[in-house]
Amino acid sequence: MFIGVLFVFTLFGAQLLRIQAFDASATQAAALSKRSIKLHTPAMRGQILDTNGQVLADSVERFTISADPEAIQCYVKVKGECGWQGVYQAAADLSPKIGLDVARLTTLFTKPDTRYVIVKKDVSPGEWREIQALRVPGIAAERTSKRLYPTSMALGQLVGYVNQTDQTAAGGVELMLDGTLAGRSGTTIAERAQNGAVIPGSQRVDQPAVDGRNVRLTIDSDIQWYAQNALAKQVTAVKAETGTAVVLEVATGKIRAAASYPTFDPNDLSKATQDSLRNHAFQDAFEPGSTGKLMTMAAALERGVVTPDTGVIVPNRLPRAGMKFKDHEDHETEYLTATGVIAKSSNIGTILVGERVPPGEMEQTYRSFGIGQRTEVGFAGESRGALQKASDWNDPQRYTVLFGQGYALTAVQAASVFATVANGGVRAPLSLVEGLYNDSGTFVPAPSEQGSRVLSEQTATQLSRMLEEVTGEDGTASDARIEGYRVAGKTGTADRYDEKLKGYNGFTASFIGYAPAEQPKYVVAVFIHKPQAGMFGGALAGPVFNQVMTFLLQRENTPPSTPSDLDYRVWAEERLSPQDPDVLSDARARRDGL
Amino acid sequence: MPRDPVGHGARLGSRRAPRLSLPAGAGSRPPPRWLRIDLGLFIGATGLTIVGILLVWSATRVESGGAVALKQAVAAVIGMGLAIIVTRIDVRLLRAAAPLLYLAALAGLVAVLSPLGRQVNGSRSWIGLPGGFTLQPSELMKVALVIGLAMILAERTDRRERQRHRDIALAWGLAGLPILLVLAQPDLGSALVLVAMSVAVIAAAGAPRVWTIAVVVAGVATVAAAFTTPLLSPYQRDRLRAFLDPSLDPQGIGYQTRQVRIAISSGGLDGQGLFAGRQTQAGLIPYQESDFIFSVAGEELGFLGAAGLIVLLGFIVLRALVVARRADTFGRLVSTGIGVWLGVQAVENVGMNLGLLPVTGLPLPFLSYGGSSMIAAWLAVGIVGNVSEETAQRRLSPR
Repeated sequence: MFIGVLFVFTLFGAQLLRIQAFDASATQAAALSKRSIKLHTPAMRGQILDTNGQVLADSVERFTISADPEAIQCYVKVKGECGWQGVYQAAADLSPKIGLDVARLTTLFTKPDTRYVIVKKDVSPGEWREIQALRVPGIAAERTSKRLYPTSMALGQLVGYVNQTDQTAAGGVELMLDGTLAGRSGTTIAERAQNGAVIPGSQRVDQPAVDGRNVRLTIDSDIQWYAQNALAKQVTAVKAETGTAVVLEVATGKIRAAASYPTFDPNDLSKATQDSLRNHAFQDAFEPGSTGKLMTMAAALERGVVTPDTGVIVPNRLPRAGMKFKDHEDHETEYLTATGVIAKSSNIGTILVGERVPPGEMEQTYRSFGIGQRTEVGFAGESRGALQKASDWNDPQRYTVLFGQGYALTAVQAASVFATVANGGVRAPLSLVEGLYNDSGTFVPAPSEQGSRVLSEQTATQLSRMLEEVTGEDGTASDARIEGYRVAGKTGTADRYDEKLKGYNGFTASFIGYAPAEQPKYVVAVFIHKPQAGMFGGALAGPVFNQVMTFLLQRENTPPSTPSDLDYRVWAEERLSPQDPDVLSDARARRDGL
Repeated sequence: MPRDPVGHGARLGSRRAPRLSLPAGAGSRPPPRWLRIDLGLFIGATGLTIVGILLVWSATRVESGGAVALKQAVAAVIGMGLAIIVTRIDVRLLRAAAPLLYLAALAGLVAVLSPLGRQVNGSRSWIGLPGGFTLQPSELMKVALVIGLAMILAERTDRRERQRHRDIALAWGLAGLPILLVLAQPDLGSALVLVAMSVAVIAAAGAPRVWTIAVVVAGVATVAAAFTTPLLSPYQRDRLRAFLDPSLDPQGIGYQTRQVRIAISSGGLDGQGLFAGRQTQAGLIPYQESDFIFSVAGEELGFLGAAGLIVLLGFIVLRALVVARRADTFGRLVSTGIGVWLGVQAVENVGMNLGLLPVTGLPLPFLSYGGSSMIAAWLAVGIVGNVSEETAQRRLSPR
């Protein structure tokens, strides 16, 4: 018997040795791979700030609460046994903390055949601490984050949005600067216990989470808010489809506001429609219409084809390329100056001026203003507009481009054209990002790029002065006038090409301008697409421009304008003769073989 | 086990006479009375108990902190106290108490089958007591049966009479009743222990060989029947099958076997450290604090710790058998029974932890969580201690 006992225990010792020494490594490796799990530690997205540091988008820590229906039974033990009492008590205790009623929680906690049910998402750290304090077995939390947009609707289309489920960027600045904002989520290898909880002390950080960096935009949320409100009111009032307003800082090319309407609240995407998610300032390309005449005139002035005072004989109809071009309303033959052509926004006058510049040079001028190429901003989904090569223009197009039909641009590109003129002929590259914060939290300004000269300073000055007449006595935009300031600007009413209908439908009414004309700080560009009440830029977009510009002038405490040295007239001083070699007319065009 | 069918315990003792070595010339004064307990046995059992409490704590602390370990410690203290009392009482008192103890345990076994009983893991083995405590009468029955059998069989042997078939039949009747009740729970493991113990005690008492052979044959037949007939519950048959091929049901019964194997294998030479075993702390092994406490030792204390436990368990079993050799007839029978009881239980439990034997719900003496088991094991120590002291007394002061 002794020998038997000794034999058995020796056998056990041998088996123990076999398991622990000889077969161990294989068994252990199998066990570890079975237990280990990869945990993702989400990185917090960086903040998006406006130029003054106001928070436009912020990430906060949140928790997703889950429950293990089996473990939860042990919250209360009756005679040492887990059971329904535990479930009921847990539901009763958790109900006020979680904010779900007892019946709902009981249903969740008794879900059969599972050890993981999601109880509630979006729980704040404070709430989670309270829930945790109850020490209910089987209640666990996963760290997540939530994106908050304090300015909600006012900057929705600009700041963009993230998919709240996984915090991936889906639009706007969020998408544009995702590389900077997102950070990098970390991974932790951990071993998991039977109940799903991580074994304490088993975590090994594989890759630490790196939070995203903060970015500062050029956007001034005060201006943005004001522009957004003014735009929204007008779009609603004239029952337009959409509208957009851009405020651009002349000297720097910084975009201070880019409002769009209708917009959405990035905090609540459920109410957003697919179309409202678009940022109309960057993503919509449309034909500019009369605001494009500025570039035509610039090319003509730059090449000495006209001066601001050059007389232009404007008939009621102008036959070109087998068509009869007309102005926005019928009129007797008018004797205007080049200034008058701009001020009264004459299509015919513009053709007579513009056709004297070869198409290739005209195209070059447009391109140097930034038409047909994406701006430096690189906004998510930004359109480059559309400008064909001059050699590809068909016969009518050669004339329509002169008054802004037959090519397309975005609202920011259009604003940039006027900013170039306001800036003495130098086009400042557009920017939306003021700079980034580096890892130590220090602000690093975005590198400023050199501007490019598009027009001579003289041409710019002349053009600017001519634009003032638009808001003058005989101009098209008396609504844009601001008491005490010289306002330069241009109205636009363009036929609107509808992608869906594959044809023209409705109008784009616009006004782009700046004040004070002699020393402007901002350009304000307003576009109203497909209005149902009225169609002219001056009347529809002018008031919005007026409100936003007035707000800016008051905010900057801008001193009233001084009178200009340049005395430009809209009407020619006398009846012009088609024979006059200095006067532009259809007759002269024929003589010159145009 | 002494081969002599007519046990000559006393003569045997005097023939071998391994006297306690007392200091020469010390006036052959007996050691102080408090020291006259079987020290080796006590120290060994105490060591196992302390390690057991630590292992139980380690296995349960994640889920319930120190509560389970504390209950175990309380049971251990009660068991040790009872053991000391049992060691010091007159053996005649023990014999007198045997019928009462037996009847009480029998009543308990009947009670668990009544609505008073509590079913855990498919077996009605427990009686609920006030205050969250539970009692497992089958553990008490082990103590009662070993004393009871020894008592009725020792009388004839002491009178140097052969055991009659009638006496043996009575003994088997005495053993059979509780065995059947335990099987009805059903608790196969405890029944196995009771059977083994009975066979050993009855054989040691000099029963005709035919009895022993018959019981062994019956046992083999029962095992054979277990696999082929619906004698066992499906639950028990599944356990047996899963023992033979753990991959049969990797998520169910085989799961436990595999997790235990993983735990023990990850211990290595010196273990992952107390409270640091990955499998254990993860709670991957069901009932680890009770039936599979050995796997905690394997993982956290490693080969050295686990082998140490085997050595200690072996020492206690052998010690009981050594005491049995020197004792009088009653002492011999009772110690043999206890040695077999603890031995079978240790072998079966460690064997199933090591994947050498099928899984049956048996606690590892002194180590597994369970108050009844702990108290019963310590009562066994007390009884062996009593026998040991009795023997020593007899030798020091020959009557």
